[in-house]
Amino acid sequence: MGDAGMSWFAARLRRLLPLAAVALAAGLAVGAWGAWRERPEERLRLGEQALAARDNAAAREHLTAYLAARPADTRARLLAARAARRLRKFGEATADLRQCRQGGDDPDAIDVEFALIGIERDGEEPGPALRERARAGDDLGLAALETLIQYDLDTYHLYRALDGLNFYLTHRPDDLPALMSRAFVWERLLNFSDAVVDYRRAIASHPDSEAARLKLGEALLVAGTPAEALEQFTWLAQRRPDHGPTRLGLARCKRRLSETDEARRLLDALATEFPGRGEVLWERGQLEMDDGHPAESEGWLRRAMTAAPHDRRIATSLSQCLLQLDRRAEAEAVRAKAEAMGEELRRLDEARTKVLKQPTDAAAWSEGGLLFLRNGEREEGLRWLRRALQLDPANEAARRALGGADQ
Amino acid sequence: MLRHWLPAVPLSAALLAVAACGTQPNAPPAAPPTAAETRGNAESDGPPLFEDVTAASGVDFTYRNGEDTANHLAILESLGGGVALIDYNGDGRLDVFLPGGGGYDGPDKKQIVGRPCKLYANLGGWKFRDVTAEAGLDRLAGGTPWFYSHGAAVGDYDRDGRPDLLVTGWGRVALFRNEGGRFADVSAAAGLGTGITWATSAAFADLDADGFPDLYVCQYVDWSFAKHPKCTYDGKTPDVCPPKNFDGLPHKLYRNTGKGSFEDVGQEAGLSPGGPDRSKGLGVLIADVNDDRKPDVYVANDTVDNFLYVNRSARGRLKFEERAQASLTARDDRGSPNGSMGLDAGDPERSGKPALWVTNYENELHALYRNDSRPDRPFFTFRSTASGVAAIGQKYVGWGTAFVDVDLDGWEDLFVANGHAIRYPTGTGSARKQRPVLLRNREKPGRPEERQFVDISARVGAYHTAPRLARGVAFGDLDNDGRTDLVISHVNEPVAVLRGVGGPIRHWIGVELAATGHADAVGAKVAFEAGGARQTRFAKRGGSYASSGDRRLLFGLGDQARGRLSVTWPDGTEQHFDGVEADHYYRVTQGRERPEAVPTGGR
Repeated sequence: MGDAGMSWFAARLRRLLPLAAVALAAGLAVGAWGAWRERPEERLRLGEQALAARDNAAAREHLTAYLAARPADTRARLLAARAARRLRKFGEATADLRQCRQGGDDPDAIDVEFALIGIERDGEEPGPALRERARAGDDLGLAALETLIQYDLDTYHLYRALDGLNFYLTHRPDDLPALMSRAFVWERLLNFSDAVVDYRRAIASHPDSEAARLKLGEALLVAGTPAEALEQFTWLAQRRPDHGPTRLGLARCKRRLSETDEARRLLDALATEFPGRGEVLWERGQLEMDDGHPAESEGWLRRAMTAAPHDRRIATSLSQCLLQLDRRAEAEAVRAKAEAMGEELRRLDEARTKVLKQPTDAAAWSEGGLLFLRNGEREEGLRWLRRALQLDPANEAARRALGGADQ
Repeated sequence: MLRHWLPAVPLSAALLAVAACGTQPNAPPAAPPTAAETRGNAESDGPPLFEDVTAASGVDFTYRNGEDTANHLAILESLGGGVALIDYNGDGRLDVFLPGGGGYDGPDKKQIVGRPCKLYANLGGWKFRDVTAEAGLDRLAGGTPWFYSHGAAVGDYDRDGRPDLLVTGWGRVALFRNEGGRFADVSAAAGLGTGITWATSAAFADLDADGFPDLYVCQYVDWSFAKHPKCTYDGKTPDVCPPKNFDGLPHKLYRNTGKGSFEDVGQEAGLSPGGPDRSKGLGVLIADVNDDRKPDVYVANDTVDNFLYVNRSARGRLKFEERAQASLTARDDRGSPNGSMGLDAGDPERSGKPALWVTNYENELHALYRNDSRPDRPFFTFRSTASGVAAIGQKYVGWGTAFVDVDLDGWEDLFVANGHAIRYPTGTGSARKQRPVLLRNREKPGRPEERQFVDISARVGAYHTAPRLARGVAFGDLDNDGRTDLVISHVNEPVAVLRGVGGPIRHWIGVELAATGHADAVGAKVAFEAGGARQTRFAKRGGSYASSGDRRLLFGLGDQARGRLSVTWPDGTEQHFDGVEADHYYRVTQGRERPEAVPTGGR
């Protein structure tokens, strides 16, 4: 084999050399990138970047790596504490802050972070000094404001949350969570037009945000036109053709635009895939009512009522359907149920309004919690009841209800 | 990531539905219609259907709500005014009466005062002249200045053949007897001098079959400066309070004694009492909805259930049964009461039965209720979505409205005047002012047996190019050319006069009903058959918002030049006339063999 073998080897080597060179170069580049990425300063930069983007898990990872190399950097440790707090790892955050305190740097920031832990972990009422500090407009102030806004949202101080969000957005006008949250507040205040404005702003600065598109589409069905809403749902459907809420949004638009056949096609598919979704079944039943087919509608509406027994709209529609079928006694029985639901919702709205006006009204929180529970909103009901007990540990109704719910 | 900041409070659709009906949120559009808004709507590219003739007409008047005199942000300021069309001098041309509104005076600016109303005589040729003083409408009886006014109703309460005028407002109403081109304030003598807290819309109609028109007066809410809370919709900007903050007032039903006076019989007739969650009346329509030839009363209430008072009266004794819930006309299809303002009855599907139409607040659909009633069972089906009305969205705060065949094609279209109720709405392209909506009644694509409304608002013409703060609209044929013209009242902006110019080469016919002895003919039904199609119109009063329109009934006939006219009178008698030529107004006198062409006093 001699020369022939060498020749074959050389020829093969000649063919493989360029590939090997590319592979080697790539390997070197990856290694260099990895090594560069592992540099402590780069870890710090990436950690800061992730923290600003509220990718708190990534921030924590980068900052932990950085602090392993530079344990005495109290500024970085403060940022690590912030990331840990946001991830609700309060023990870790507290430990970091204690180390910062020993380092002696920036006592103002350390105090603020401790106060924020107190609010987030223990539900402490934010003090006026912290609220004033949050209005400084610097990074620390805005970080504090985020916690205060969340506190205000969770405790139904909606106007104060709105005020905080307005301030925050003057400093960070394109912030997606802030825009989404303000839109959320507008919706709670039943001001859907302003919610639409904020969702539109969110999309303008974050065009790929599917959450913002979905919320915009839904808000436009209330405060805009179905044609405007359709644009948003169509965009989403191109990205996520199987997404249930998007398809339901499309169907709702089509129905309102009198594109009945397309609405029916969408709703039939949804009802097959999601047979337990009251909203889908109700919309499908309404479509039959639109077409003047109450007999066909009844089945859909009965299924909807089984799926969502607390939804007054469904009960109302079923009652109307039965009246069309001239089954008056049955209609009256269902209407009475709908009226009872309506009365519950009216009381819930009263409790909500009371809490909005006086967010420390424990009785209103308790009443709202009980009504949420009775209307199938278990998580929200428990949250309201816990808040009632927090405000008034002697609130017996809340205590009893929470005890019952736990059992 | 978005959990951070997103509140835990869920958006419970059901809760939202009940909450939304109890408050007055904000925000309408002011921006021009987008491509999405006019989607599927090539018809809106046609020629204008109205011409704004205000500037040269001589009508130069502005309703004032008082916000220029004090910054109270009172709910009183949100209602605005209406318009009444009344041929006060019997010259065959409809004249225009305009309530003036009011303002505040006194040391603390809490004295509620009126502003003068106006009467414009129609001179023909689209010229009008202010005749307020010479007609005796510059002052009330005894030289008393005007009260804070809103609406107006027209009816011949004394059956002398001359239309009389009722004006509504805060604290009182005023009844003016037409004495032949001059009015006399007869409120006190007629028994209408007291008893009113806050009257909005009103309508005359003979409800007990004695021939004399009785009177229904809507009352709104129990507001005064003694009950004037501060309200905000964003936590900091003070604004007009929603009606939710006030108790609704009981409405008034006055029986016409036939001796020049009225007696308040609301309670014994079965009218609903007031209260926190009922009876906040803004609009009233009187028409026979269940085909028993007795005029019924449908009332648009703000944020609470509408009323449908089915007439169970006997001669000389008024009795009503409230059937809105049972007939499905109290609320929308989700079971939510709406913020209802304007209303009308028409026959957009040519069923021969009056459908009901209600304009509502933003975030709500305007309601189209198809009439599926039998005489023993008034019953309606909510058709806003199926009819295409839902396609305009829920952006508008709708007020004055009517079914009107704008292009004389024989199918009734819909006009709605819009404008926000609160002072500082915000949001998408938001403003207080809004554009009007015009919906054309057309064949549904792919389903020729069905009708569909499509938005052709741009074809309102020049008036549509700017948003307005509109309220009441009176619909009537001011130049007797068979096309309905519009007079629109705005808040703190001049009244607009729009001349209908649609369907220029199409035929039409107009009918004026004259019951025996100037008896009131509300409840009568008129049909016109031509080319195999039968259209029906209903003798009705009230409708729109705080306004009173043309009593004559107009039919667009397309290319049909003659047809068969049928009248069913409230007493059950029927008359039929064949070969009736188009393009005229006819007076049909009960019992007379032929209808007579009406001299219309020129255009």
